[in-house]
Amino acid sequence: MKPIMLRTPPRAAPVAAAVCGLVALMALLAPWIAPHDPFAVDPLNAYAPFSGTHPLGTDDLGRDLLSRLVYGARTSLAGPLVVVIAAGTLGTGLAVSAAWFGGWFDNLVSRALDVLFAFPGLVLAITVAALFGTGFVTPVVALSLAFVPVIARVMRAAAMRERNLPYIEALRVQGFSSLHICLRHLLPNLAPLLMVQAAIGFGYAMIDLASISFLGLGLQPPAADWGLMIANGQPSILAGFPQQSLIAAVAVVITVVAFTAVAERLAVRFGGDVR
Amino acid sequence: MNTPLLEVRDLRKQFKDFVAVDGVSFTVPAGGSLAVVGESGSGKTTCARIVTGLEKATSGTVLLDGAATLDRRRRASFVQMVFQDPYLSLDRRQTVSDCLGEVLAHHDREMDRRSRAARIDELLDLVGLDRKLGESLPRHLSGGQRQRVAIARALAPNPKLLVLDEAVAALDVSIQAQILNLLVDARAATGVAYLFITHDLSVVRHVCEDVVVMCRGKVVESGLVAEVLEAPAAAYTQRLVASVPRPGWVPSRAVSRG
Ligand SMILES: Nc1ncnc2c1ncn2[C@@H]1O[C@H](COP(=O)(O)OP(=O)(O)O)[C@@H](O)[C@H]1O
Ligand SMILES: [Mg+2]
Repeated sequence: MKPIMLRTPPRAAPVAAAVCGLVALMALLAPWIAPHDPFAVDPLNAYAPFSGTHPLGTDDLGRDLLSRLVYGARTSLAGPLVVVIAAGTLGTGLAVSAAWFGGWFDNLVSRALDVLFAFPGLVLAITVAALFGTGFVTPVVALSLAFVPVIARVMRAAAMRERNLPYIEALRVQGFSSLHICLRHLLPNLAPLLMVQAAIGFGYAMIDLASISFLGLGLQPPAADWGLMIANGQPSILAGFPQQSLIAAVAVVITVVAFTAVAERLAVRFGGDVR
Repeated sequence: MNTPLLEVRDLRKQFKDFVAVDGVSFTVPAGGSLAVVGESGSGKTTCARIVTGLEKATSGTVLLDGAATLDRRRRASFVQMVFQDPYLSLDRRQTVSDCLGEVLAHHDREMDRRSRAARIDELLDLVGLDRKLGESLPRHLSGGQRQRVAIARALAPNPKLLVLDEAVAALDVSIQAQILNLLVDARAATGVAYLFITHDLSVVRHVCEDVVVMCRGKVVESGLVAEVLEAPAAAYTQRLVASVPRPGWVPSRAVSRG
């Protein structure tokens, strides 16, 4: 995964981290932050402009956009979070066992990952969602699978380098079991790299899941979800009310940029230095 | 005669069609110190790795205390190893105490926290490290200090045999001398035997009584250090000895700098 990274100046990192934190808080505290019920329809009040009661206006059904944005953070963050946790766990598990056992097992895992890698993740996720139904779970599971080879490749290369270091051999000479060495030494030393991969993957997963929602294969109306909001706002753009799509898109972009900036900072901090 | 601590007989190791070790035999008596010398590529490390179980021999036997096989933990408390690169042979996330404590707990499950802490202090004393350094991470230590930690870790299970593979090669000359002295003292204090592997003949005399000279996977000469280094019989050993600076030898570069 060659990150689509802008060079983040070091000072931007705390800002980016703060943005990530704020978005996460927004998702957690949605019921307390949102000024209105995000699902409350009020047709007489459709397309209301920015005002005190509706700080970001309302959508085509008169629902409060700020409330929908705040609630939308929940699924919009939960999806990528599940994807990176699932893909991170599975990918790292495969990577470490392949690197540790080597031989035919490593070959088998590497070939399988190559095959999975050959499918573009988004296409795979879209296909699976189209075949197995829309909603939250299907695209997330599909995308998790699609991310496994991406994470596993990076982690396998790192695990390979790590397992050949003399400290691992010293532990073997001390008679520690493979399991002990992998869990207590190999994995903790790979954790920073995994964090970087997860943070980068988070941004990608968010864009991919938003795209899937946008295509109508993810969450269905009336769910409050940023990708879905971008899609639902489309007809309104033509009617001259772009705010729904716009604020949701801005939320996606800001969150992705913030996570990617944090990832880059982590990468600089922990970048490949084994000493 | 007593069973030797380590007996290596007709050891052979083949990587694909390359023979790295070709019929090597030697023994290390209890408390002894055997140097294995030879140019780089002569198969010394491969022998060391086979002795410690990191590598399997293609053929031949390695007898530890007369036994061909020991279970993992027994073997580990019998033979230990110190590696060349002190920068890479410690887990960078682990403090010195954690590193030693983990090994102690592994070899003696019954050991309680307090006796473990006492044993850690004892080990730090043994290798000449300030007890305060116990809380340090490897990155806060110098190369020499790290190698002392590696030696302490290797001595933690009270092994009978310590394999040192180029254990001072990565260190500055002044630090080398300190570590060599430490090895002499540690052997006197614990009675551990050494299999001391080096390409550098100048460090052998200080630490070892016996020596085997390896060339391209074969032993070309063996005997007492004093005899082999004074009057080498094999042409290969003569060349090796001739290339080593003698006591009183002054590097010409230093002379010309004046
Ligand atoms: N894992 C390996 N695979 C292939 N060749 C190896 C391997 N390990 C060592 N060798 C080869 O075996 C020879 C002896 O290596 P080594 O035992 O490291 O020698 P020394 O320690 O005396 O320098 C070298 O030519 C080296 O390239
Ligand atoms: Mg070597």
